[in-house]
Amino acid sequence: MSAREIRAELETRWKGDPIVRLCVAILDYMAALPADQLGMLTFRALVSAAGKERLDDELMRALTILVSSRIAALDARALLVDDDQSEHELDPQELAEARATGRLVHPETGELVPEFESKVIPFFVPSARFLAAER
Amino acid sequence: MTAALRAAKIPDSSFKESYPVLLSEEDLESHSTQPTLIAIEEMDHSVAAIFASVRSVLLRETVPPEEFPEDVAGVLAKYDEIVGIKLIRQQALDVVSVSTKSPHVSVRIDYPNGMHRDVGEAAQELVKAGLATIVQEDHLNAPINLFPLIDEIYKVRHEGTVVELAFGTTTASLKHEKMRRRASCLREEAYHKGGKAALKAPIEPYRLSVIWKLPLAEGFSSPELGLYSTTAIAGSSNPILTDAVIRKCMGASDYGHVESRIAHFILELKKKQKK
Repeated sequence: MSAREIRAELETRWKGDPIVRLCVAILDYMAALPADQLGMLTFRALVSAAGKERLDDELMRALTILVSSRIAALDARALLVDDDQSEHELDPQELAEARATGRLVHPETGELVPEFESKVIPFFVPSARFLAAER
Repeated sequence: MTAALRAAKIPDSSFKESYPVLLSEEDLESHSTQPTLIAIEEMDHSVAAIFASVRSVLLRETVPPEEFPEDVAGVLAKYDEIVGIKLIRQQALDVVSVSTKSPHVSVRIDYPNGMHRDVGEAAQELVKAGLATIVQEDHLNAPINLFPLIDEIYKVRHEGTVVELAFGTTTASLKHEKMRRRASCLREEAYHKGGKAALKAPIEPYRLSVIWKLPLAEGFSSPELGLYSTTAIAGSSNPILTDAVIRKCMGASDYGHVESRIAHFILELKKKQKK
């Protein structure tokens, strides 16, 4: 699917919905950045890309759509930040399991991480599909 | 709330008797960490409740090798420096200042060097609870989020001198920059400007120290404001920071200057959000 087709898909499926504008703003933002500057798109970066002051329900919906399997322009990832500020990227599968079970196993020590939700930073990267369509 | 403060009964205590002089470490043995109201001070545009309590502070000191007995000299010889850690008890003076001109109340926690941030946060909660007992109501249940001020202050080029900045980038890197010579501003530093110019997306600051150079009768003072968040907070869906560290004030006017700059940016942010 080309970048144009991704945008057309959004317009068709969510016609008239204000989230289309947000999705397109994020796609345009990603398209304007060189590939090496797309390594970590935090909520803050995407809030700014969408022209918002803060993350609200509308933007959350837009992000969910961009991550969804139908559009699949974004991949959701996460970092675990230790108490000493060292960071470990979590495998998407590890994070999904942690959210499902309420228990996160530290990727290096193998120990359970207490109150892991407050130590996990979500972030996004463009999907291989988006990069292939855009570049 | 100012009327309730003015009418507050100040219980007898050795803190109150000695105020404004602090008690010695030995005199603090029998006191608890719970804050005690020791004075109500009337200022030009505010009424302040002064609380005293005992706080533990970690002191790190280099110990000269000659202070150790000769028989351990051989063991210590392989170390370049020997450091001792002391946990001492200090009297803290925390202040709740209620403005008569604005709706803001500031909870000022005594934060000497060596005190752990968690201890400061716990002290803030204790003082808030102490105030609620006096005024019979919890007025401090809506703390102002200072996190957006990190970016707002950074972006105003002539607002003080930025001496420390930590930020993330969309290249997935973290940078922590410090200016070693305090007269120079990181915003204008060549490496900082060059790095920023190479990025198409804005940087995402999460930690900032800024100083203001204020004229004194002779020379200058340079009070410092620190807004210290973490990568975990900055990366969350709703980053919140409810404390600021204010240091290096030469007196109340320096402190007032820093507070007024914070108030200015809170107001600017509110205006922006209303648009």
